[in-house]
Amino acid sequence: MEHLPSLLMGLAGSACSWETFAGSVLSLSLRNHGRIRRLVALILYSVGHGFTYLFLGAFAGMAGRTLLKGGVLTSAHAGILFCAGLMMLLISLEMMGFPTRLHLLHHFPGETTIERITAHYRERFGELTPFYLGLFNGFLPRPLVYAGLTLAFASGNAINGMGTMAWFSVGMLPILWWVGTSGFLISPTMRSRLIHAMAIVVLGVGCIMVWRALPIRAEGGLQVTTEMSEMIFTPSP
Amino acid sequence: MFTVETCAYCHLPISAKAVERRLSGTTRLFCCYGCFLLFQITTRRKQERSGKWFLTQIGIGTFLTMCVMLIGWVLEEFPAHPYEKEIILSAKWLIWALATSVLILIGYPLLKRCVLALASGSFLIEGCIGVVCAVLYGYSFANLCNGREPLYFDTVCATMLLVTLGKILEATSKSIAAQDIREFLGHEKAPAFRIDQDKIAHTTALHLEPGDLVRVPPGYTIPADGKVLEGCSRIRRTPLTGEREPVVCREGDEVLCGGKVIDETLTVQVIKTGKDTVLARLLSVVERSVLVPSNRRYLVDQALRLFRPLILVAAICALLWSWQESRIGAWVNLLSVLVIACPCALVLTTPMATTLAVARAAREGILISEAAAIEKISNVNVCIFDETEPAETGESHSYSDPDWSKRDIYTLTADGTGSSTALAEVCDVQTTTTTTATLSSRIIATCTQLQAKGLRTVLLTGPSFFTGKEKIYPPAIDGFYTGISSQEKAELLRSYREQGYVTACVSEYPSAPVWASDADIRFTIGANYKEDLLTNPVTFLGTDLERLPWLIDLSHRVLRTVNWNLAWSSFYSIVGMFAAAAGMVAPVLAAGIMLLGGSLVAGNTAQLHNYPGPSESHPYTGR
Repeated sequence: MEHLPSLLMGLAGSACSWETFAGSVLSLSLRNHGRIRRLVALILYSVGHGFTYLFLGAFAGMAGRTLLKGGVLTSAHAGILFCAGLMMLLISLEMMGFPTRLHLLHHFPGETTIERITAHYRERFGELTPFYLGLFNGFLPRPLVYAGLTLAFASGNAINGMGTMAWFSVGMLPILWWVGTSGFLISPTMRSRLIHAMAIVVLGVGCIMVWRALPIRAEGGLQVTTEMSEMIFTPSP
Repeated sequence: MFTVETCAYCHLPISAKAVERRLSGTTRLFCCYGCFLLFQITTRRKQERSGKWFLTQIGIGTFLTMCVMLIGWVLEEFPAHPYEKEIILSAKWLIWALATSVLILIGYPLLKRCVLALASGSFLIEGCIGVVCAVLYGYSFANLCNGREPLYFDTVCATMLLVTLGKILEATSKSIAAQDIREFLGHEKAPAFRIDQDKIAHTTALHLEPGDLVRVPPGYTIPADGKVLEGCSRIRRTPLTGEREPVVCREGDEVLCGGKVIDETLTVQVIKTGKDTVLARLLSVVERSVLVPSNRRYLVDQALRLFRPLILVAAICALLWSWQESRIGAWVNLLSVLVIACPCALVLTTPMATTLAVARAAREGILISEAAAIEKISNVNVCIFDETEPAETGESHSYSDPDWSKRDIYTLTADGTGSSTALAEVCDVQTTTTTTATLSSRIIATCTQLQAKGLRTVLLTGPSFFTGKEKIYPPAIDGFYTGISSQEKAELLRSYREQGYVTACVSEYPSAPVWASDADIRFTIGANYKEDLLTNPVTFLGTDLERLPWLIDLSHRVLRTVNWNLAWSSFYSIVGMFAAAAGMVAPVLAAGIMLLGGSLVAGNTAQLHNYPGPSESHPYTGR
């Protein structure tokens, strides 16, 4: 239960980061003939992808521990949670089709440049092994990954950060494997429905995070803990 | 004298420091270490295996570095958990084993480069980074053997990896810039459907020969110059001729390599291929353009000659400064200084921006034969249009545009003995039989736009036309001089220059007026692809004058981008260098800043690729 937000964010993340991985997974699926080869390729890709998220989670956790000084900066801690929640609310609005000026889904900072550069090598890495493809695809900037990393940052601990992002990457698996094993792209209508459903999930998680981070709630008993899950789900006394 | 060589990978001009390497028996020059690395990945098939091996090296190196850092971070959390000391020690030995692999995979090329550079008597920052990393590695290994702290394996691995990735990123960005030109003019790899005995063979333009028959479906570009044997379609050829609207080509019409077929499939007989095509001639003009360094690039190169020794001095100062306090801390500071002060972004920005701008202008049918001209264009504040008289008929004329209101009609008296010129066509005039001449709406619109940008606009005509009778000209034109000789024009130009104006002379093709040789920059309008295209630094294919204000805007944008990038990269290099020397920046953070700084510069410059065209709905790009 405590890692449910990360899991849900991963699931939503895979739906709204379709462009990032669907092409790669589909190409792996089409390139590797035979059920076993396809399965091995998908496993390697998922492991590479997941490893990058673990790494990023640990990094964010470390950074959180260093910057938040073990819970001294209470307001900063709550502020980060609030920002993460707000970001998720905005992302969910964009997923539902409401335009926001930030264009988080389509014009995230650095996305164009990084994608243009990695596109040069993605195919070549794909020829070598799906593991590297997953490893490098994991670094591509996607809004919900950043939201997940914010949670990892707020956990203030490398191991907890890794845990947060591990569940995030597990959340990405269902759709990733669906595309990989079925070998075809989901129709636009289906995808649109999927994104709308995921938007509701993101909205829900975002609302909870904002609510928990609000000073009015903290007044009663916001405790600075290292466990992100407690921040979200532990009721104030 | 400034000599210019181009990089074997990205084809951009090499600045002060070239990397010379012998590959497959051929000595090649590279502008940076990243280009050298990438050349090995992306070369032809015979080197494909080594390229894949290099990518594998980078991939394994990245994965192992991530493992080293991950284990290191997890170990830092251990004091909070009651784990056995043996497990921690085993984990440290594991880190050592992984770090050694990274050193072999990624550090070895850096060290090799350093040794080669030292052997040739030169100083390379990347090489020094490799040496300092090796020192830190040795120190950490000694500490591990003796059971002491600290260990710097993660620092060594991450720094080497980030520096290598930074180099690759910069080289890729430069390659993207050069690719922009090659995409526009890269006809050699364009697909071609050759008709071989009633069968269609899929090939490329490179393999075509004169006499071959090819089919060109809609959406494809014509792979060679030739003649249409079958079919009728509109063809878009803006970059080749400057024509914004597509032209209809039927059986028997000549078609040019690079034109894009719009409506239906054409069967074309190849007449000219390879370097004989019109496109190849344009390519040579544009390719040569990037070899001419701009003033800014020259200044940057000169500054870098001073900056490199300065980095070395700062690094030694950092080493000596903290030597007393902690010897290993001094080495760490030295590494941070070297990493953060690496002037890669400074080197990258100017050639990348100018190359992208030249390619962008070429897509609009504007050939810039000197990239240095972009800098001059941005400084222009007087635009002198030469020989604006209308076409010759031998009688008095009136030129009017039916769309104009009375207020817009500007009349000029004429004696009717002018010569026919291309710029007159630009003026888009219509001939009637009265004694007045009207300037076209296009030239007035262009002058209005130029004036809005703060430029002065001057129109000149020769002695044989508009002999000084009544003349009324619109406020968009600051000066209108009719019936003046070449000598008088030269004096006028000189007077503007003496007043401190930067002058641009706009003349029609093919005339390149002698008096205009003193102008700071010369534009040729209305050229066609059949003539020699190197008479002036800037040549407008076709007669569309709207592109002139657009080109000035583009040059301003390029300068803004270059200035911003130079300021930003100088700022973070210099500030970071001092902060690192004071021990405030860890090597990994320094490498991260370097990577981020390079990415920002590359990303900011790459936006020039998408600079919008003169009109919103551009016929060539379809936007």
